[in-house]
Amino acid sequence: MADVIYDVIIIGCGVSGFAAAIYSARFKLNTLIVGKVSGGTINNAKEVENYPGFKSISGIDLGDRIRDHATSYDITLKETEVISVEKNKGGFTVRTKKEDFSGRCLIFATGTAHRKLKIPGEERFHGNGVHACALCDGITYKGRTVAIIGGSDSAAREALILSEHARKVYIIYRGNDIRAEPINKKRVEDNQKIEIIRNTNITEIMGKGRVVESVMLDKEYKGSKVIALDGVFVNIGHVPLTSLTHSLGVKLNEKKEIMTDTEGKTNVAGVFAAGDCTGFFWKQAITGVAQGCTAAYSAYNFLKR
Amino acid sequence: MAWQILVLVIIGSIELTGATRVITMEKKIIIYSADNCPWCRKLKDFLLDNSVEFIEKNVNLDHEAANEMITKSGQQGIPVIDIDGKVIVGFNRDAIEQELGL
Ligand SMILES: Cc1cc2nc3c(=O)[nH]c(=O)nc-3n(C[C@H](O)[C@H](O)[C@H](O)COP(=O)(O)OP(=O)(O)OC[C@H]3O[C@@H](n4cnc5c(N)ncnc54)[C@H](O)[C@@H]3O)c2cc1C
Repeated sequence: MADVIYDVIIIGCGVSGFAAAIYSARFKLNTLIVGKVSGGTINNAKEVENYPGFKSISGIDLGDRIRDHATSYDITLKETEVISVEKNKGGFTVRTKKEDFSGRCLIFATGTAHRKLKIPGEERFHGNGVHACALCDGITYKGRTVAIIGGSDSAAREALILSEHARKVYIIYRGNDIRAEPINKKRVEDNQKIEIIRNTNITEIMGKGRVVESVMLDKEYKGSKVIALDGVFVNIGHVPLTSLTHSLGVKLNEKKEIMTDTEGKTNVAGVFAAGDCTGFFWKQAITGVAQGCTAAYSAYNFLKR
Repeated sequence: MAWQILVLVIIGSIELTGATRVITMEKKIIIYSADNCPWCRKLKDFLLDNSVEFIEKNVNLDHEAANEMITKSGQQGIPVIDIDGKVIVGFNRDAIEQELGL
């Protein structure tokens, strides 16, 4: 059993978790933040242009700044994976591979993972022609042809990153019109290397040995269902990482996101949540940060009772 | 190239609360990375924070290194770390800590 009993244990060290840690520390709560890699999802953003106070900053720099801000306070940061969470007499036990921690209340800020296509070829070519992060892996496609699957703002921006390296970038989207922020949509439309294939699904990723050669579409595009290319970047949204909450009976919505009220409270007393792992409809760094600070305030009020 | 002649023996040390324990490792560590790759930066920061020395090969500038990485790891995503022949893809902190005995 852990010796220290933390007032608050924050699970997840993305921007939402660190924002919660800043407020929690300022409320003089004994705070532990435990998560796999500091910064989380924002590390994958090449440029963040909508976080107030920074006209343009790389995602990793923003994440590092928020982390450094949080760790300038008297908090404990452990970068490791949480394996399970349980209720104990005075609160909760959080287990990692190395250590167990005890806390009076919990804030989940566990974010999301990339959603998979679940089509033939995806697993076979994973990391080798099938990728999820243009900023991370796009560089290896210099002068080649790639496709982004998806039509969100994030997909549009990933296509723009890929166009810096690749010769040709297809955006393959099941809907009619990509849902990018107008400013990014215009950038995509003005980019000569990017071609959008609308109202179309990809049904298989094909290749020889370890090399991706083409994808199969569910309808013909320019006379063929097969498109020759070298790499596929999947950007069809995210799935929430909320399985740790099951043991506590935390209510999830139909997408398996944590249900919270406007104060960041879940249905379980002493359990709060913030950021992309919640059912909040808009998933951005700034909204996650706001939810993090709200959850910390609610935790403070809960402990004060 | 510099990295071809460089064979580094790493001496890593970590401090544990209460007592200071010096861990001496004799492991050859190579990382495959590229500029502007966020998880490569996280990996490098982690190794530097733990005083672990490593050889860095830039797969964007060095084709031979890129091929070497693909052969070793069976894939082309970065970063890749090779710790004395044990190859770990991505920045998997728990797995790297275990391999380094941190
Ligand atoms: C390519 C891309 C570009 C984007 N660009 C922008 C942008 O320009 N502006 C903007 O505002 N937003 C942007 N976003 C969205 C933004 O990144 C997210 O909304 C935000 O980072 C979510 O933060 P979070 O802290 O809620 O979750 P995350 O950042 O996902 O953090 C969750 C953390 O919890 C950890 N975790 C999960 N499970 C466990 C476990 N079992 N044990 C330990 N740790 C665990 C994870 O490892 C991670 O560190 C972008 C997203 C992407 C993918």
